[in-house]
Amino acid sequence: MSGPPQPNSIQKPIQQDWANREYVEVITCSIKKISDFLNSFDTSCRSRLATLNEKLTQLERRVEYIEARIVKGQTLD
Amino acid sequence: MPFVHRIVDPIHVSRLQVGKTVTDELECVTNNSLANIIRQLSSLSHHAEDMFADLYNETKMIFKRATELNSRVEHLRVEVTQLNPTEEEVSLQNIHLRKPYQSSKLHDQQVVARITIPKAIQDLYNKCERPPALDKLNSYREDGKDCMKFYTDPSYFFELWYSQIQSDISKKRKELKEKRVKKDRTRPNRTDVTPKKIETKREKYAAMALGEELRPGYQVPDIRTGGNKPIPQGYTQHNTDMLPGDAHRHSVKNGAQHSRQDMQNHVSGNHIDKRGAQNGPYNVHPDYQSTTPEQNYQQQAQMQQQRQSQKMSPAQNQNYSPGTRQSQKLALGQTVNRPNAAPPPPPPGAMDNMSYMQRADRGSLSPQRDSMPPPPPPPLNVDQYGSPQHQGGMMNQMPPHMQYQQTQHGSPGMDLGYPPPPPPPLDNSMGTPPPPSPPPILNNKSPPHAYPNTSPAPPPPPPPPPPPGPMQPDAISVSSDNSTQSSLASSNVEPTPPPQQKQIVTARSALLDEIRLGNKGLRKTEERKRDTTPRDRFDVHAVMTKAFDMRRKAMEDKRSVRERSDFKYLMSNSRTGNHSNVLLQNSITSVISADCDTNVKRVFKVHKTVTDNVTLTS
Repeated sequence: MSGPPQPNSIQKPIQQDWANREYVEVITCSIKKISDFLNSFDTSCRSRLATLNEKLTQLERRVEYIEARIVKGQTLD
Repeated sequence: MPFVHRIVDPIHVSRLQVGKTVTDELECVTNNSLANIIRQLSSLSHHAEDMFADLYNETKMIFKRATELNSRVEHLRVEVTQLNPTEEEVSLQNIHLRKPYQSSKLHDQQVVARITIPKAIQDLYNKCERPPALDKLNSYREDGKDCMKFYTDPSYFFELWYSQIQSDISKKRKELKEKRVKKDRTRPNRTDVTPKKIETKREKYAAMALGEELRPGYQVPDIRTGGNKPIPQGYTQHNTDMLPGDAHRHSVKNGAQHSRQDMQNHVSGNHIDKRGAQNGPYNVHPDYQSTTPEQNYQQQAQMQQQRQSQKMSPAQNQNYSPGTRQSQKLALGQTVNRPNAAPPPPPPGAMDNMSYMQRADRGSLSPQRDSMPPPPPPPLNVDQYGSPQHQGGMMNQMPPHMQYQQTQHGSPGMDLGYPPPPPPPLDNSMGTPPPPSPPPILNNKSPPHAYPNTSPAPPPPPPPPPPPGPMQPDAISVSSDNSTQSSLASSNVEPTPPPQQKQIVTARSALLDEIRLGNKGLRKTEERKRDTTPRDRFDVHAVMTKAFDMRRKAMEDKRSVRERSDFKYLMSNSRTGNHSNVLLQNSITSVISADCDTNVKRVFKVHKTVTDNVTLTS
């Protein structure tokens, strides 16, 4: 007397599963986006900081040189 | 192959082996996926925090540097506005004695090292397996090699590069040696050829430096011998000005040998032209001597111009007083005999900023003069004064000249040598440390002799030292000009306390503080340099600079061969000690031009003193 299973009893969990999987997919996609953003943010920040650092180093060298020029330097013994 | 810094765990969100006991598999997988997603999020947030922390630290560091730099720039701005454009900070000759600038900034070394490793990679690194403990086998190896290096050798590539560089350096060195050997072989021919060329140059430089004074009938030996006479006075003045410290320093450290050599050169084999090209202050004497009244008239205009600039260059004026005294006498009667007679004291004004080398020479000379036997009672005639000048040959053989000089011109010299008469107080009041220092030297060496002899034969009343009124306000600038010298002098010499001793002490201490502050940067560079030297092994920058130096030497050697051979003729006899060092390093032509410039300056200064004296006496 086993009739064909109720379509609802089979379809329902499958549909639910699809819905869940979609939900998981959305979350993972957003996680990927977040990580992408973080990566790009990190990269751009680091490159900018690197250029800044370079400029600062140049400036420091220049300022140091100017300081040495202005200050009365030691003479050779 | 991409190098993954950060991995978001877990990677496979939904993979799971579902147990058989689980009734609802789909829900189990879903729940597991959600749980893994949450884990991913937490891992992501962890990495994000790590990233932001790194960025924050880096930004903080840059901000700190920027603020520091900002403050330094502000400080610089203030200092630059206070600079006096008319004040000559370093003379052309002194410029060679200044320490070369060296940046205290270190080049980034070993950028990829254990220290600079970021935290994420450090975590990855820690997760790695350790290498097998091969170092335990080291004790069984007989060749002393490290067993671990057969398995993994982090310094392999550096060693490779280093060996290449070393081979390159050695190759260049070999080339250099070969070139030098060739040069030595070819040298005799060159020396024969070059002098003709150089004749023109020499004449040019001599003309530039001296004008017409030096050339006609000017005999060097006369100058030398006669020079001993008048010079001591100038020397004593120089002693008062700056000699004791600098001269002592030089004679102790590196100047002694050179100064001796210079002495010999001056005494024995000088030619006019060479002296014209090189011996700074000595050149001036002949000019000074040979300046006839007509020339004085011509130059008075220049003098007046220079007088206007007295405030700019107070040190000159200050130092002039003794020179003016002597020049007064010259103007009074002796100028006619002078051209062949005796060089006057080197222009003192030139000395404040002029080369240390020359001062060193003087310093080495002056003690001898000071220690010479005391002068006999001075004959006051011009002829008597002039005649001995032609007699003497060597400095050391010439005590009589000294005697004449001390006694006749003696008053200034005595003023300086003995407890302070008017002039020294004046100098002292101006706050320049150098003046007090000479007395000790003189007192130590000469006074016992000098006093008794001079007392029986009192010298003619010296013209009162011209107290330059306007010069006093410039004392501060003078002190700042001579700051290094004065500090050195003060540190080396224990002065006999003149009345203004306290002022001097305070001035000196202030100067010392100033110098300390000012030279902080240089000291920093030196210290850093010292720090960097020990770890030379992996110092990429040091290795690179070494290699570049060698390459540069090899490249420049070709070019310098010509110049050096040309210049050698000029410099052969009268090369001064420091000059020789400088010349080997720097471009030669610039040195010559610098000498010429300074000589011209000195000539002007001397003329100035002459006219000053004329006006004073009149």
